Amino acid sequence: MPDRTAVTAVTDGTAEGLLTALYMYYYGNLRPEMVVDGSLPSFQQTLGAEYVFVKTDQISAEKVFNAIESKFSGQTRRCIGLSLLSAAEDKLFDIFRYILLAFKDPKHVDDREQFDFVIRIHKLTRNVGMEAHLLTGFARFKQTSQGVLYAEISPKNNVLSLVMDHFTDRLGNERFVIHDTARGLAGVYDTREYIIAEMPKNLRASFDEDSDEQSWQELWTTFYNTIGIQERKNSKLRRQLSPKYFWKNMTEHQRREHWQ
Amino acid sequence: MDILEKLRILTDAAKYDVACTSSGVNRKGVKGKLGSANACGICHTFAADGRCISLLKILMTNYCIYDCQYCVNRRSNDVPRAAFTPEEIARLTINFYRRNYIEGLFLSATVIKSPDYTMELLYQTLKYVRKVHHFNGYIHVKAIPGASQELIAATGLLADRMSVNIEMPSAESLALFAPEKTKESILLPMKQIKNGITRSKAEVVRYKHAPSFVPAGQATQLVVGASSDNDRKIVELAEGLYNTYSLKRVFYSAYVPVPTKNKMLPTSRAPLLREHRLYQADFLLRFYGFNSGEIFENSDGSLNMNMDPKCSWAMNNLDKFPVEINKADKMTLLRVPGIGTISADRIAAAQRQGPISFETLKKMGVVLKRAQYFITCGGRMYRQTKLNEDFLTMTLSENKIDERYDQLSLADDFGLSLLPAPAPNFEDELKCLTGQL
Ligand code: SF4
Repeated sequence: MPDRTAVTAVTDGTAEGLLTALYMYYYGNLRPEMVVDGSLPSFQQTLGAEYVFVKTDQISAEKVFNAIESKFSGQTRRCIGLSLLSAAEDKLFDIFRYILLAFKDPKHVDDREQFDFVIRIHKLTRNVGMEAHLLTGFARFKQTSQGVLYAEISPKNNVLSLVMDHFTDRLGNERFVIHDTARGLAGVYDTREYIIAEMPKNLRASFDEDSDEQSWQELWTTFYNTIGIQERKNSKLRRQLSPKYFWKNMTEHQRREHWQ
Repeated sequence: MDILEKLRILTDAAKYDVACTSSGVNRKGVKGKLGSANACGICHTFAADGRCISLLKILMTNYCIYDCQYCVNRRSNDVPRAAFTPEEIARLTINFYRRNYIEGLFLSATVIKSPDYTMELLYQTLKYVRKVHHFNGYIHVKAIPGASQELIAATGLLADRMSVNIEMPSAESLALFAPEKTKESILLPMKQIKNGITRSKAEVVRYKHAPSFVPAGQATQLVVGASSDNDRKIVELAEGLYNTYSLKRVFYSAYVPVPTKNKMLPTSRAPLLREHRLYQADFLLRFYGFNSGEIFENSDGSLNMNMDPKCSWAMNNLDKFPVEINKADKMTLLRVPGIGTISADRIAAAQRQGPISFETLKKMGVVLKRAQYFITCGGRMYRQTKLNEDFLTMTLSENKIDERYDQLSLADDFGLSLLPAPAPNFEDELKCLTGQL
C-alpha cells in the first residue's frame, strides 16, 4: 500500500451515491478521510487535496442496501434513513462511518456513544424525527372545491415522505396533496398510493377553496383563542414548543388577534 | 344561538380541565373510516398559555344542577349558557379532524337534569360520532358520578379514555365545597371503569375482535390550592389512585379563582410552581420507583419549593451518595438528581461497552450541572467537592424561581430532551412526554 494522502470522496448527494461509496470501500480501496455532497452550492475543491468522485451505481448501491436491510436492527436502519433526510450539509461522513461501524458490530452500534459520529447520527435522527412528528400535528389542510385536501409545509429537513406516510394511514379515504414549498416538491395521494414529484411554486393556484372553508377556519381560530387560560399566558413556552417557522402555515396563527 | 357563539361558550367552560392528552393507544387507519390514533399523542398546536392542544376539548352543555363552589359552571354562577346537539359535535369533530386541527374529541359535561340523563347524552353523541360519521380517531369522555353502570359500560366501548374528575383532594374539602358530591360517588365509577378495563383486556386476549373498553386507560384531575389540602395529602391520594385504580394519569390544576362570594375560597390563583412540583413528585411515583413516604421524608407535608423533590430526597439521604456510575444499576441511577430515565438508559447501555468517564457522560448528553455532586466515575468526583449539606443546598436551590413555571422546564428537570429518543425501547408514556406533559 502506498502512503495515502487524505482522500475526500465526493458523491452526488443521493442515498444511492453514499451507498456506492460504501461499496467502493468494501470492494474497491476507497479509504476516505471525508465524504461530501458535491451537489451542494457550498462544495469547493481546495488545491492539493485529493478527491475521488463517486459515480453513483444503482447495482452497487442495491447490494449495500440489501446487506443493510438483512443485517441491521430496525433502530439502526431508522437512524440511517432519517439522517439521510437531514438538512445538515456535513452529515455524509458521519453516516458513512456509522454504517461502517454497524457492519462491524450490528448489534451494539447504537450503544457505542463513545464515538462522536454515533452521537451525531442519533442527534440527526432525533432532529429529523422530531420535525416530522411535529408536522403530523402542525400541518393544516384546506378543503378545496375539487374535493382534494391541500396542505403547505416548509420544513427544514426533507421530511415530506415521513409526513405522507402518516397521513396516508390517517386520512386513507381522502384524496390529498401536501406541498413542500421549501423544496418545490409535493406528495399526492389518491386513496390508494402516493407519489412525490416536483411541483411548481404556484401549485396552490390550481385549487379553489371550498365555500365553507373560511367558516371552518373561523370556528377553529375561535376555539384556539378561547382554550388558552389568559391568567397563565406564556408566549415564550409557546414559541419553544411550536417554533415560529411553522406558524406561516398554521391557520390559527394566521388569523388570531389580541393577547392570543 | 349560532354555532360560533356556542363553541366560544362551551370551550371557555371547558378550558380549566387539564387532562387533555391524546396518548395511550395505537390504532391504524381503517378502510371506510376517518382517522387513526398514535400512542405517543400528537400536539396539534400550542395555546397562548403554552399548553398542548391535541383534542377538541368542549362541554356538551354548561347548564349544571350542582353548585360546586370552585366551578365556573355551578348553577348559582351568572354566566352565559349553551348546549350542543350531538349532530353539531359530530360535524365539528369531523371537519376539524379532516383539516388536521385536532387529534380527536375530548367531550366533557356538566350535570344536566340527572347523572343518567347526562351520561345518556354523552353516549348518544359518541355513538353518533363513531357509528354515523365513522370516526376512528381519539375520543376522551367524562364519566358522570351517579350514572348507571350500564351507561358507563356502553360509553366506554366507544371511547379511548374515560375520566372522572375528583377535583377536591379530600372528603373534607368535598363536603365543604361540593356538598352534593361524596367521595364514594366519585370513586364508584372509577372502580367500574377499572373493572371494565380488566375484563376487556382479558376478552381481547381470548377473542381477537372483542371490542376494547377504554383502551387508553382512565385519568383524573385534582384542583390544587382551592382547599387547604397539603401536598402530602395530594401525592398520597395520587399514589393510592395509581395503585388501587390503575389510573394512567393524575393531572393537577392550580386553582384559578372563580367569581364567588364564598369566603373560604382563595381570591388569588395558586402558584404554578406548586403545580409543577406536584407533577415532579408524580413522575417520581410513576417512573422513578419512589413512594410517597420517601418523597415526604422529614417534611412538614409541603414539597420544597426551592428544589425539585428528587434533589430534596437526595439531600435527606446523603449517606446513599456518591453513586459510582460504572457500577450502579438503573434504579440507583434514577435516584441521582439530574439523571432522568433517558440518561439512565444510556448509561446502563454504555456500561456494557466499557468504562465511562465524565467525558463520556458529557458526550452522551448527560447534564452534569446537578448530577456532578452525587456521582463518581472510576472512583473520582467531577470536582473536589464534599457532600456538604449547606453547600449543596446553596448550589442546588433554584434561586431564580419563575412564577410562570412551565411544562417545558419539567422536561428539562428530568433530563428529557425535547426530542424523542431514537431508541424504540422506552416506555410509551416517556416518549409522549416530549409532546404532551
Ligand atoms: S358538577 Fe361539575 S360542572 Fe357542575 S358545578 Fe360541580 S364541578 Fe361544576
